[in-house]
Amino acid sequence: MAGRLPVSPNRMELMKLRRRLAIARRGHKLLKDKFDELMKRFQKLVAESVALRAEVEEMLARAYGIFALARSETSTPELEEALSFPVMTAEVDVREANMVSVVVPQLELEMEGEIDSHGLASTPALIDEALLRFREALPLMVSLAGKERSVRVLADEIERTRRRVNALEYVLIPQLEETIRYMTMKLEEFERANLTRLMKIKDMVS
Amino acid sequence: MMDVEPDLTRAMKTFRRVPKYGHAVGRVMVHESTLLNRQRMERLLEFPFEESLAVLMETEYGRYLEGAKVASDVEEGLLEFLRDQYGLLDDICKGTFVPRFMRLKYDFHNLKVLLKRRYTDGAVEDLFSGLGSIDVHRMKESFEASHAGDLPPEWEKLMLTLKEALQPGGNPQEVDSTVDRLFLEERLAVAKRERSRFLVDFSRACIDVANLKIILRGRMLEKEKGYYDAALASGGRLDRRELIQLALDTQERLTARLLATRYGRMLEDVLKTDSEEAGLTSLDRGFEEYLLEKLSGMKRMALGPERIIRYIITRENEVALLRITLMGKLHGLAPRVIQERLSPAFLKGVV
Repeated sequence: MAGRLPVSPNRMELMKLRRRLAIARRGHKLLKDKFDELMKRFQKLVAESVALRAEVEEMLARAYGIFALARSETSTPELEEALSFPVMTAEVDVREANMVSVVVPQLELEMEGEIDSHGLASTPALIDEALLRFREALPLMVSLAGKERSVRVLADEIERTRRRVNALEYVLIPQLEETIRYMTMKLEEFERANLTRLMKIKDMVS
Repeated sequence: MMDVEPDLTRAMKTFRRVPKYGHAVGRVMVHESTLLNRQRMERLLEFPFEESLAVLMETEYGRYLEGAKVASDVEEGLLEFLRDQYGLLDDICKGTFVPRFMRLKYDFHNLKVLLKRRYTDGAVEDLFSGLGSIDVHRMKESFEASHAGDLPPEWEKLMLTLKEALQPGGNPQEVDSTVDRLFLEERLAVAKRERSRFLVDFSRACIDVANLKIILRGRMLEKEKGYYDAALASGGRLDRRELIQLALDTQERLTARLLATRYGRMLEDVLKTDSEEAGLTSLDRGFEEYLLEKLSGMKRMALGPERIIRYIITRENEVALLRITLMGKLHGLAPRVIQERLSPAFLKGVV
């Protein structure tokens, strides 16, 4: 049960409280809308992330499977010599995007150069297939990293917004309503006492 | 000598080889009896890793793989075994071209590592192979001094070719492609110098196989003409220029032309499959099988270096098969997947 605010019952305070209540209700509505929108986006993003993760994991499992086969077909020094000097460079550009007033990361991958830097005559052919699959998986991995980070940021924001909505809905607004009700009763009581006093004075004077 | 029949000349040549290779061939024939047979390979495939090792304990590999638990143990054991096989080769073929012919592959591997050092700041010492015939430090010193020095005389020309072919700041792939090409051409040159019909034939087949691998893989990786110019080796039975044209031609024409060559049967699965992965698996397996069949012809050369070379290459293939099998088991691959990677020629006991 919400308690009363420690304020002295007068018309000025009542007006202030009513104004605060109106602002609190408006804030609550806005935050509730934000919360609903965040939840909607969050659920969509989670569904996307789950699907993307499954896709990336499948791609990587396949690529690692092929790589394991290629790996077993050649000796370690030969394989390392073939793959230790890559020419492809990959850079991740990190930007910020606004999602319902929440700053989420936006990752963009830029790849340059060819994936193959090994001789084709002396290495197992499956290495090409494994490398191509790793190259296909890389942009999806970066995209997944961006989505999963956004999910985490949104989850934190949802938690914060939920706490604010709950604080307004179950603490501040009931407190203000209770205080206003109490203050209204008090002021009406003052009004009635004053009226009675005035009537008594009028009787005495007449 | 001019009046002697050609067959008789060949027979006389064989007899001249007896004092040079007779002892070595005898030793090799003893070792040939220890090669893994089909039944043993099938047992290896069936069993899990630990039990496969138990099967290998009954073979020459036993002491090399004893207690192996992880991939690096297997790798180290098999490398040690190969080192001993090359030691045997040095021992039985002292003063002949055979050890150098067989170790050429590893010398060129070391050369690649040496040339690729410029692309990295990290240490590359671990990448050198200990199976080469030329000491890595000697090779390094000669390259730094830009002259062959103590290296075999043919390396002078090789160094010059490399200097012309490799531009500073180029792609590391150029190093691999150029050195692989030079290796194949050099091996053919050695075979020609030794006037061994089988070795020349085998080296040519290796060049064709490598060239075919390059154009088929190059097409998948969308390589341009310049790449094929640098990578394709000359000296094979397939015309190099025609191969370059085919690499850039349509798939239909490439398929039709390659199927009409002597390698058509081997390439059938590769060219007709829709799955890239299956095609690549067939490619490696088909080439291995073809070269193994070529090697089986050398068995008929009873007294020459061919039989010794055949034995060492067969051992190297055997080591590769064991690596695939044991590593596959360690990586949790199903026996069916491992078997797909193994050369059917070996499993059929062709070798």
